[in-house]
Amino acid sequence: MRMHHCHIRPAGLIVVLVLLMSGGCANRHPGLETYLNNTSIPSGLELRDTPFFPQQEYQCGPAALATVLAASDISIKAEELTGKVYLPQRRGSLQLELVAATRRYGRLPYVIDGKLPAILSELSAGRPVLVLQNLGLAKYPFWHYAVVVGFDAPRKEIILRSGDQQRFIMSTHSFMRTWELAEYWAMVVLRPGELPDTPDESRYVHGIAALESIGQTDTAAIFYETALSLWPDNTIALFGAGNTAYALGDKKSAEVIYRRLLVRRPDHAAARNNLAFLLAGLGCIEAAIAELDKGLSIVDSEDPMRQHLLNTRTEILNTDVAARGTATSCPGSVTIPLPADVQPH
Amino acid sequence: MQRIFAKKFMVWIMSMSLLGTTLPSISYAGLIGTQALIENQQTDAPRARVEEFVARENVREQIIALGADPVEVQERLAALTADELRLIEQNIDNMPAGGILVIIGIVFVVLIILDLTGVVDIFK
Repeated sequence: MRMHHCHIRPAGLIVVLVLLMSGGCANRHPGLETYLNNTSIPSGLELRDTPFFPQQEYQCGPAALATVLAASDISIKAEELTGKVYLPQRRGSLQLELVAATRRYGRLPYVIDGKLPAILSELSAGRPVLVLQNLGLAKYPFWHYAVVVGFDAPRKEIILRSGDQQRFIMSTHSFMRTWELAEYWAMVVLRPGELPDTPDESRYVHGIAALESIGQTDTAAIFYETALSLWPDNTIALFGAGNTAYALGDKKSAEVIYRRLLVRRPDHAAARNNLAFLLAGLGCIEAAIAELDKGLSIVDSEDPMRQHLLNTRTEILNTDVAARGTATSCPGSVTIPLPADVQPH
Repeated sequence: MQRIFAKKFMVWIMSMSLLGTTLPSISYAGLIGTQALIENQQTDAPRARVEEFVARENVREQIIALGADPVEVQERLAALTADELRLIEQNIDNMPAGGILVIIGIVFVVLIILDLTGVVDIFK
Protein backbone atom coordinates (compact mmCIF):
# COMPACT_ATOMS: atom_id res chain seq x y z
CA MET A 1 0.00 0.00 0.00
CA ARG A 2 1.35 3.37 -0.94
CA MET A 3 1.42 6.06 1.66
CA HIS A 4 -0.58 8.61 -0.20
CA HIS A 5 -3.54 6.28 -0.34
CA CYS A 6 -3.66 6.02 3.40
CA HIS A 7 -6.29 7.75 5.34
CA ILE A 8 -5.73 8.49 8.93
CA ARG A 9 -7.56 9.17 12.09
CA PRO A 10 -5.86 11.58 14.42
CA ALA A 11 -7.66 11.32 17.71
CA GLY A 12 -7.55 8.49 20.13
CA LEU A 13 -5.08 5.95 18.97
CA ILE A 14 -2.86 8.23 16.98
CA VAL A 15 -2.46 10.70 19.73
CA VAL A 16 -1.94 8.02 22.32
CA LEU A 17 0.76 6.66 20.09
CA VAL A 18 2.29 10.08 19.61
CA LEU A 19 2.37 10.61 23.33
CA LEU A 20 3.88 7.22 24.00
CA MET A 21 6.59 7.80 21.47
CA SER A 22 7.36 11.30 22.53
CA GLY A 23 8.24 10.03 25.95
CA GLY A 24 5.15 11.40 27.60
CA CYS A 25 4.51 15.02 28.28
CA ALA A 26 1.61 14.78 30.63
CA ASN A 27 1.82 18.24 32.13
CA ARG A 28 3.33 20.08 29.22
CA HIS A 29 0.06 21.80 28.37
CA PRO A 30 -2.03 23.03 31.25
CA GLY A 31 -5.70 22.08 31.21
CA LEU A 32 -8.29 24.17 29.47
CA GLU A 33 -9.81 25.36 32.74
CA THR A 34 -6.56 26.95 33.87
CA TYR A 35 -6.84 29.43 30.99
CA LEU A 36 -10.31 30.48 31.94
CA ASN A 37 -9.68 31.82 35.42
CA ASN A 38 -10.20 35.53 35.77
CA THR A 39 -11.32 36.03 32.20
CA SER A 40 -14.63 36.81 30.61
CA ILE A 41 -14.37 33.65 28.53
CA PRO A 42 -17.16 31.19 29.35
CA SER A 43 -16.37 27.66 30.42
CA GLY A 44 -17.65 26.35 27.15
CA LEU A 45 -19.21 27.39 23.89
CA GLU A 46 -19.78 26.07 20.41
CA LEU A 47 -20.34 28.08 17.26
CA ARG A 48 -22.96 25.66 15.98
CA ASP A 49 -23.89 27.81 12.97
CA THR A 50 -20.41 27.50 11.50
CA PRO A 51 -20.85 25.96 8.06
CA PHE A 52 -19.39 22.57 7.30
CA PHE A 53 -17.62 21.63 4.09
CA PRO A 54 -16.78 17.93 4.10
CA GLN A 55 -13.26 17.48 2.84
CA GLN A 56 -12.65 15.88 -0.53
CA GLU A 57 -9.49 13.85 -0.89
CA TYR A 58 -6.54 15.82 0.45
CA GLN A 59 -8.24 19.14 0.23
CA CYS A 60 -8.57 20.13 3.84
CA GLY A 61 -7.05 23.52 2.97
CA PRO A 62 -9.92 24.56 0.69
CA ALA A 63 -12.46 22.99 3.07
CA ALA A 64 -11.12 24.72 6.18
CA LEU A 65 -10.70 28.05 4.41
CA ALA A 66 -14.21 27.84 2.96
CA THR A 67 -15.47 27.26 6.50
CA VAL A 68 -13.96 30.41 7.97
CA LEU A 69 -14.75 32.52 4.88
CA ALA A 70 -18.37 31.38 4.90
CA ALA A 71 -18.54 32.15 8.63
CA SER A 72 -17.50 35.70 7.69
CA ASP A 73 -20.49 36.00 5.33
CA ILE A 74 -18.75 35.08 2.09
CA SER A 75 -20.90 32.93 -0.13
CA ILE A 76 -18.53 30.20 -1.21
CA LYS A 77 -18.04 26.55 -2.08
CA ALA A 78 -14.92 24.65 -1.11
CA GLU A 79 -14.43 23.55 -4.73
CA GLU A 80 -13.89 27.11 -5.92
CA LEU A 81 -10.98 27.44 -3.51
CA THR A 82 -9.20 24.36 -4.81
CA GLY A 83 -7.79 26.20 -7.83
CA LYS A 84 -6.72 29.05 -5.55
CA VAL A 85 -4.84 27.22 -2.82
CA TYR A 86 -4.34 23.54 -3.63
CA LEU A 87 -1.03 22.04 -4.76
CA PRO A 88 -1.80 18.59 -6.16
CA GLN A 89 1.76 17.26 -6.00
CA ARG A 90 2.04 18.27 -2.36
CA ARG A 91 -1.46 17.00 -1.65
CA GLY A 92 -2.04 20.07 0.40
CA SER A 93 -2.09 23.82 0.68
CA LEU A 94 0.48 26.30 1.96
CA GLN A 95 -0.36 28.56 4.89
CA LEU A 96 0.67 31.64 2.90
CA GLU A 97 -1.70 30.71 0.09
CA LEU A 98 -4.59 30.43 2.54
CA VAL A 99 -3.63 33.89 3.76
CA ALA A 100 -3.41 35.22 0.20
CA ALA A 101 -6.69 33.65 -0.93
CA THR A 102 -8.47 35.21 2.06
CA ARG A 103 -7.43 38.64 0.77
CA ARG A 104 -8.99 37.93 -2.60
CA TYR A 105 -12.38 37.76 -0.89
CA GLY A 106 -11.96 41.18 0.70
CA ARG A 107 -11.30 39.76 4.14
CA LEU A 108 -8.32 40.38 6.39
CA PRO A 109 -6.41 37.21 7.28
CA TYR A 110 -5.06 37.63 10.78
CA VAL A 111 -2.67 35.10 12.31
CA ILE A 112 -3.47 35.00 16.03
CA ASP A 113 -1.07 34.38 18.90
CA GLY A 114 -0.07 30.74 19.17
CA LYS A 115 -1.71 30.26 22.53
CA LEU A 116 -4.88 28.49 23.52
CA PRO A 117 -6.41 31.59 25.18
CA ALA A 118 -6.12 33.39 21.83
CA ILE A 119 -8.26 30.68 20.23
CA LEU A 120 -10.74 30.74 23.10
CA SER A 121 -11.16 34.50 22.99
CA GLU A 122 -11.69 34.48 19.22
CA LEU A 123 -14.36 31.84 19.68
CA SER A 124 -15.92 33.97 22.39
CA ALA A 125 -16.02 36.82 19.88
CA GLY A 126 -17.92 34.53 17.54
CA ARG A 127 -15.12 33.73 15.15
CA PRO A 128 -14.15 30.15 14.28
CA VAL A 129 -10.38 29.64 14.13
CA LEU A 130 -8.52 27.94 11.28
CA VAL A 131 -5.63 25.89 12.67
CA LEU A 132 -2.76 23.91 11.22
CA GLN A 133 -2.16 20.60 12.95
CA ASN A 134 0.47 17.95 12.59
CA LEU A 135 -1.33 14.66 13.04
CA GLY A 136 1.82 12.66 12.58
CA LEU A 137 5.15 13.03 14.25
CA ALA A 138 7.66 15.83 14.25
CA LYS A 139 9.82 13.69 12.00
CA TYR A 140 6.95 12.30 9.90
CA PRO A 141 4.55 15.19 9.68
CA PHE A 142 1.01 14.82 8.45
CA TRP A 143 -0.18 18.34 7.97
CA HIS A 144 -3.84 19.03 8.38
CA TYR A 145 -6.05 22.11 8.50
CA ALA A 146 -9.13 22.15 10.68
CA VAL A 147 -11.41 24.77 12.15
CA VAL A 148 -11.91 25.11 15.88
CA VAL A 149 -15.57 25.92 16.53
CA GLY A 150 -15.91 25.33 20.25
CA PHE A 151 -14.62 24.01 23.53
CA ASP A 152 -15.90 22.50 26.72
CA ALA A 153 -13.69 23.19 29.70
CA PRO A 154 -15.34 20.80 32.18
CA ARG A 155 -14.91 17.96 29.68
CA LYS A 156 -11.50 19.21 28.57
CA GLU A 157 -12.56 19.08 24.94
CA ILE A 158 -11.92 21.04 21.77
CA ILE A 159 -14.58 20.88 19.06
CA LEU A 160 -13.55 21.11 15.40
CA ARG A 161 -14.78 20.94 11.84
CA SER A 162 -12.20 18.51 10.55
CA GLY A 163 -11.94 16.49 7.37
CA ASP A 164 -15.22 14.67 6.83
CA GLN A 165 -16.22 15.10 10.47
CA GLN A 166 -18.66 17.88 11.12
CA ARG A 167 -18.17 17.71 14.86
CA PHE A 168 -14.79 16.31 15.66
CA ILE A 169 -13.92 16.25 19.33
CA MET A 170 -10.38 16.13 20.60
CA SER A 171 -9.14 16.23 24.16
CA THR A 172 -7.47 19.53 24.86
CA HIS A 173 -4.28 17.68 25.45
CA SER A 174 -4.31 15.91 22.09
CA PHE A 175 -5.26 19.07 20.32
CA MET A 176 -2.45 21.01 21.95
CA ARG A 177 0.03 18.34 21.00
CA THR A 178 -0.97 18.34 17.32
CA TRP A 179 -1.07 22.13 17.29
CA GLU A 180 2.29 22.41 19.00
CA LEU A 181 3.79 20.19 16.30
CA ALA A 182 2.52 22.73 13.78
CA GLU A 183 4.17 25.59 15.65
CA TYR A 184 0.83 26.80 17.00
CA TRP A 185 -0.27 28.35 13.74
CA ALA A 186 -3.82 29.68 13.65
CA MET A 187 -5.67 32.41 11.80
CA VAL A 188 -9.01 34.13 11.78
CA VAL A 189 -10.82 35.90 8.98
CA LEU A 190 -11.89 39.47 9.70
CA ARG A 191 -14.75 41.29 8.00
CA PRO A 192 -14.06 44.86 6.84
CA GLY A 193 -13.43 46.99 9.92
CA GLU A 194 -13.36 44.08 12.36
CA LEU A 195 -10.69 43.77 15.02
CA PRO A 196 -9.38 40.54 16.48
CA ASP A 197 -10.09 40.08 20.18
CA THR A 198 -6.62 41.12 21.26
CA PRO A 199 -5.11 42.88 18.26
CA ASP A 200 -1.41 43.25 17.77
CA GLU A 201 -0.91 46.73 16.34
CA SER A 202 1.93 45.94 13.98
CA ARG A 203 0.53 42.64 12.70
CA TYR A 204 -2.89 44.15 12.10
CA VAL A 205 -1.63 47.21 10.25
CA HIS A 206 0.84 45.23 8.13
CA GLY A 207 -2.00 42.89 7.22
CA ILE A 208 -4.03 45.84 5.98
CA ALA A 209 -1.12 47.10 3.88
CA ALA A 210 -0.89 43.69 2.21
CA LEU A 211 -4.61 43.83 1.51
CA GLU A 212 -4.16 47.29 0.00
CA SER A 213 -1.23 46.11 -2.10
CA ILE A 214 -3.27 43.47 -3.89
CA GLY A 215 -5.85 46.01 -4.95
CA GLN A 216 -8.45 45.66 -2.19
CA THR A 217 -8.36 49.41 -1.83
CA ASP A 218 -11.80 50.17 -0.44
CA THR A 219 -11.67 47.30 2.04
CA ALA A 220 -8.21 48.39 3.16
CA ALA A 221 -9.50 51.94 3.66
CA ILE A 222 -12.17 50.66 6.06
CA PHE A 223 -9.60 48.64 7.99
CA TYR A 224 -7.20 51.60 8.20
CA GLU A 225 -9.99 53.63 9.72
CA THR A 226 -10.50 50.97 12.37
CA ALA A 227 -6.76 50.82 13.02
CA LEU A 228 -6.57 54.59 13.43
CA SER A 229 -9.48 54.62 15.84
CA LEU A 230 -7.38 52.41 18.07
CA TRP A 231 -3.88 53.69 17.28
CA PRO A 232 -4.27 57.25 15.95
CA ASP A 233 -0.52 57.75 15.73
CA ASN A 234 0.36 54.63 13.77
CA THR A 235 2.41 55.93 10.86
CA ILE A 236 1.77 53.00 8.53
CA ALA A 237 -1.98 53.26 9.10
CA LEU A 238 -1.89 57.02 8.50
CA PHE A 239 0.23 56.64 5.38
CA GLY A 240 -2.00 53.81 4.12
CA ALA A 241 -5.18 55.72 4.91
CA GLY A 242 -3.81 58.66 2.91
CA ASN A 243 -2.86 56.41 0.02
CA THR A 244 -6.19 54.59 -0.08
CA ALA A 245 -8.12 57.88 0.12
CA TYR A 246 -6.04 59.14 -2.79
CA ALA A 247 -6.57 55.95 -4.78
CA LEU A 248 -10.31 56.20 -4.18
CA GLY A 249 -10.31 59.73 -5.55
CA ASP A 250 -10.80 61.50 -2.23
CA LYS A 251 -7.88 63.89 -2.51
CA LYS A 252 -9.23 66.21 0.14
CA SER A 253 -9.15 63.47 2.81
CA ALA A 254 -5.83 62.19 1.54
CA GLU A 255 -4.28 65.63 1.96
CA VAL A 256 -5.67 65.98 5.48
CA ILE A 257 -4.32 62.55 6.45
CA TYR A 258 -0.85 63.11 4.96
CA ARG A 259 -0.69 66.37 6.90
CA ARG A 260 -1.79 64.63 10.09
CA LEU A 261 1.04 62.18 9.59
CA LEU A 262 3.55 64.95 8.90
CA VAL A 263 2.57 66.81 12.07
CA ARG A 264 3.44 63.67 14.01
CA ARG A 265 6.41 62.70 11.88
CA PRO A 266 7.86 65.73 10.06
CA ASP A 267 10.69 63.50 8.83
CA HIS A 268 8.35 61.12 6.94
CA ALA A 269 9.81 61.72 3.50
CA ALA A 270 7.42 59.32 1.75
CA ALA A 271 4.44 61.26 3.08
CA ARG A 272 6.07 64.51 1.90
CA ASN A 273 6.51 62.94 -1.51
CA ASN A 274 2.92 61.77 -1.76
CA LEU A 275 1.52 65.03 -0.44
CA ALA A 276 3.60 66.87 -3.03
CA PHE A 277 2.35 64.58 -5.79
CA LEU A 278 -1.22 65.18 -4.66
CA LEU A 279 -0.75 68.96 -4.47
CA ALA A 280 0.80 69.02 -7.92
CA GLY A 281 -2.23 67.17 -9.23
CA LEU A 282 -4.38 69.94 -7.81
CA GLY A 283 -2.28 72.52 -9.61
CA CYS A 284 -0.47 73.68 -6.49
CA ILE A 285 2.98 73.42 -7.96
CA GLU A 286 4.69 75.81 -5.58
CA ALA A 287 3.28 74.11 -2.54
CA ALA A 288 4.25 70.73 -3.98
CA ILE A 289 7.82 71.80 -4.61
CA ALA A 290 7.97 73.30 -1.13
CA GLU A 291 6.98 69.93 0.38
CA LEU A 292 9.58 68.10 -1.69
CA ASP A 293 12.26 70.58 -0.70
CA LYS A 294 11.34 70.10 2.96
CA GLY A 295 11.70 66.40 2.42
CA LEU A 296 15.00 66.77 0.59
CA SER A 297 16.37 68.96 3.39
CA ILE A 298 15.98 66.16 5.92
CA VAL A 299 16.74 63.09 3.83
CA ASP A 300 20.28 61.85 4.15
CA SER A 301 22.32 62.21 0.97
CA GLU A 302 22.90 58.44 0.92
CA ASP A 303 19.20 57.64 1.33
CA PRO A 304 17.70 56.27 -1.91
CA MET A 305 14.52 58.08 -0.92
CA ARG A 306 16.37 61.21 -1.96
CA GLN A 307 16.41 60.05 -5.57
CA HIS A 308 12.70 59.35 -5.46
CA LEU A 309 11.97 62.84 -4.16
CA LEU A 310 14.19 64.34 -6.85
CA ASN A 311 12.44 62.27 -9.52
CA THR A 312 9.04 63.39 -8.31
CA ARG A 313 10.27 66.98 -8.29
CA THR A 314 11.51 66.71 -11.86
CA GLU A 315 8.32 65.05 -12.98
CA ILE A 316 6.19 67.76 -11.42
CA LEU A 317 8.22 70.53 -12.98
CA ASN A 318 8.18 68.82 -16.37
CA THR A 319 4.47 68.23 -16.40
CA ASP A 320 2.90 70.00 -19.29
CA VAL A 321 1.76 73.30 -17.88
CA ALA A 322 -1.56 73.06 -19.63
CA ALA A 323 -2.14 69.61 -18.14
CA ARG A 324 -1.85 70.93 -14.61
CA GLY A 325 -4.94 71.07 -12.50
CA THR A 326 -6.38 74.38 -11.59
CA ALA A 327 -6.75 74.75 -7.88
CA THR A 328 -8.73 77.62 -6.55
CA SER A 329 -6.61 77.81 -3.43
CA CYS A 330 -3.32 76.27 -2.55
CA PRO A 331 -1.95 75.85 0.95
CA GLY A 332 0.61 78.46 1.90
CA SER A 333 1.12 79.72 -1.61
CA VAL A 334 -0.61 80.87 -4.72
CA THR A 335 -1.34 78.86 -7.80
CA ILE A 336 1.28 79.39 -10.43
CA PRO A 337 -0.55 81.10 -13.29
CA LEU A 338 -0.02 79.92 -16.82
CA PRO A 339 2.76 81.89 -18.45
CA ALA A 340 1.36 84.39 -20.88
CA ASP A 341 2.98 82.77 -23.88
CA VAL A 342 1.55 79.30 -23.21
CA GLN A 343 -1.78 78.51 -24.73
CA PRO A 344 -3.67 75.53 -23.49
CA HIS A 345 -3.98 72.90 -26.20
CA MET B 1 10.39 26.90 -22.53
CA GLN B 2 8.90 30.04 -23.93
CA ARG B 3 8.26 31.27 -20.43
CA ILE B 4 11.83 30.64 -19.32
CA PHE B 5 13.05 32.57 -22.31
CA ALA B 6 10.62 35.37 -21.58
CA LYS B 7 11.84 35.49 -18.01
CA LYS B 8 15.49 35.64 -18.96
CA PHE B 9 14.72 38.28 -21.52
CA MET B 10 12.85 40.40 -19.00
CA VAL B 11 15.60 40.07 -16.43
CA TRP B 12 18.11 41.08 -19.07
CA ILE B 13 16.10 44.12 -20.05
CA MET B 14 15.63 45.15 -16.47
CA SER B 15 19.26 44.55 -15.64
CA MET B 16 20.34 46.63 -18.59
CA SER B 17 18.12 49.45 -17.52
CA LEU B 18 19.51 49.08 -14.01
CA LEU B 19 22.99 49.58 -15.32
CA GLY B 20 21.72 52.44 -17.38
CA THR B 21 23.61 51.20 -20.38
CA THR B 22 21.76 50.26 -23.50
CA LEU B 23 18.34 51.29 -22.30
CA PRO B 24 17.25 54.45 -20.57
CA SER B 25 17.10 53.96 -16.84
CA ILE B 26 13.70 53.38 -15.33
CA SER B 27 12.52 56.45 -13.55
CA TYR B 28 10.74 56.08 -10.24
CA ALA B 29 8.69 59.03 -9.31
CA GLY B 30 5.27 59.80 -8.04
CA LEU B 31 3.17 58.18 -5.34
CA ILE B 32 4.90 55.75 -2.99
CA GLY B 33 2.76 52.75 -2.09
CA THR B 34 2.20 51.66 1.51
CA GLN B 35 3.48 48.13 0.97
CA ALA B 36 6.44 49.40 -1.06
CA LEU B 37 7.45 51.60 1.87
CA ILE B 38 7.05 48.74 4.34
CA GLU B 39 9.12 46.41 2.21
CA ASN B 40 11.71 49.13 1.87
CA GLN B 41 11.58 48.98 -1.88
CA GLN B 42 12.49 52.63 -2.02
CA THR B 43 15.94 51.81 -0.76
CA ASP B 44 16.73 50.35 -4.13
CA ALA B 45 13.60 50.42 -6.20
CA PRO B 46 14.96 49.05 -9.48
CA ARG B 47 16.73 46.16 -7.79
CA ALA B 48 13.69 45.40 -5.63
CA ARG B 49 11.54 45.24 -8.72
CA VAL B 50 13.88 42.90 -10.53
CA GLU B 51 14.05 40.66 -7.46
CA GLU B 52 10.31 40.64 -7.05
CA PHE B 53 9.89 39.84 -10.71
CA VAL B 54 12.33 36.94 -10.51
CA ALA B 55 10.74 35.63 -7.29
CA ARG B 56 7.32 35.79 -8.89
CA GLU B 57 8.47 33.89 -11.95
CA ASN B 58 10.25 31.29 -9.84
CA VAL B 59 7.22 30.72 -7.64
CA ARG B 60 5.10 30.49 -10.77
CA GLU B 61 7.29 27.69 -12.05
CA GLN B 62 7.41 26.01 -8.64
CA ILE B 63 3.69 25.85 -8.10
CA ILE B 64 2.93 24.88 -11.68
CA ALA B 65 5.42 22.04 -11.24
CA LEU B 66 3.43 21.07 -8.13
CA GLY B 67 0.32 20.80 -10.23
CA ALA B 68 -1.29 24.22 -9.78
CA ASP B 69 -3.65 25.12 -12.60
CA PRO B 70 -1.68 27.48 -14.92
CA VAL B 71 -4.87 29.43 -15.60
CA GLU B 72 -5.23 30.23 -11.91
CA VAL B 73 -1.57 30.89 -11.16
CA GLN B 74 -1.47 34.53 -12.19
CA GLU B 75 -4.15 35.46 -9.68
CA ARG B 76 -2.69 33.25 -6.99
CA LEU B 77 0.61 35.08 -7.28
CA ALA B 78 -1.09 38.46 -7.41
CA ALA B 79 -2.58 37.89 -3.95
CA LEU B 80 0.86 37.44 -2.35
CA THR B 81 3.09 40.29 -1.20
CA ALA B 82 6.67 40.54 -2.42
CA ASP B 83 7.92 39.35 0.97
CA GLU B 84 5.61 36.34 0.88
CA LEU B 85 6.75 35.48 -2.64
CA ARG B 86 10.36 35.50 -1.50
CA LEU B 87 9.51 33.26 1.47
CA ILE B 88 7.78 30.73 -0.76
CA GLU B 89 10.52 30.93 -3.37
CA GLN B 90 13.15 30.05 -0.78
CA ASN B 91 11.28 27.57 1.43
CA ILE B 92 8.53 25.92 -0.55
CA ASP B 93 9.95 22.43 -0.10
CA ASN B 94 10.06 22.79 3.68
CA MET B 95 6.74 24.52 4.14
CA PRO B 96 3.90 22.51 5.62
CA ALA B 97 1.15 21.75 3.12
CA GLY B 98 -1.92 20.73 5.06
CA GLY B 99 -4.04 18.18 3.30
CA ILE B 100 -4.54 14.93 5.18
CA LEU B 101 -8.07 13.58 5.16
CA VAL B 102 -9.35 12.53 8.52
CA ILE B 103 -11.44 9.39 8.47
CA ILE B 104 -12.05 6.55 10.84
CA GLY B 105 -9.40 3.90 10.62
CA ILE B 106 -6.24 2.72 12.20
CA VAL B 107 -4.27 2.03 9.07
CA PHE B 108 -1.92 4.87 9.80
CA VAL B 109 -1.16 3.70 13.31
CA VAL B 110 -0.25 0.29 12.02
CA LEU B 111 1.95 1.79 9.36
CA ILE B 112 3.80 3.95 11.83
CA ILE B 113 4.43 0.99 14.06
CA LEU B 114 5.64 -1.03 11.09
CA ASP B 115 7.85 1.81 10.03
CA LEU B 116 9.31 2.43 13.44
CA THR B 117 9.99 -1.23 13.96
CA GLY B 118 11.76 -1.26 10.64
CA VAL B 119 9.46 -3.81 9.03
CA VAL B 120 8.69 -1.53 6.11
CA ASP B 121 9.89 1.79 4.91
CA ILE B 122 6.71 3.45 3.88
CA PHE B 123 7.64 7.07 4.06
CA LYS B 124 9.78 7.19 0.99
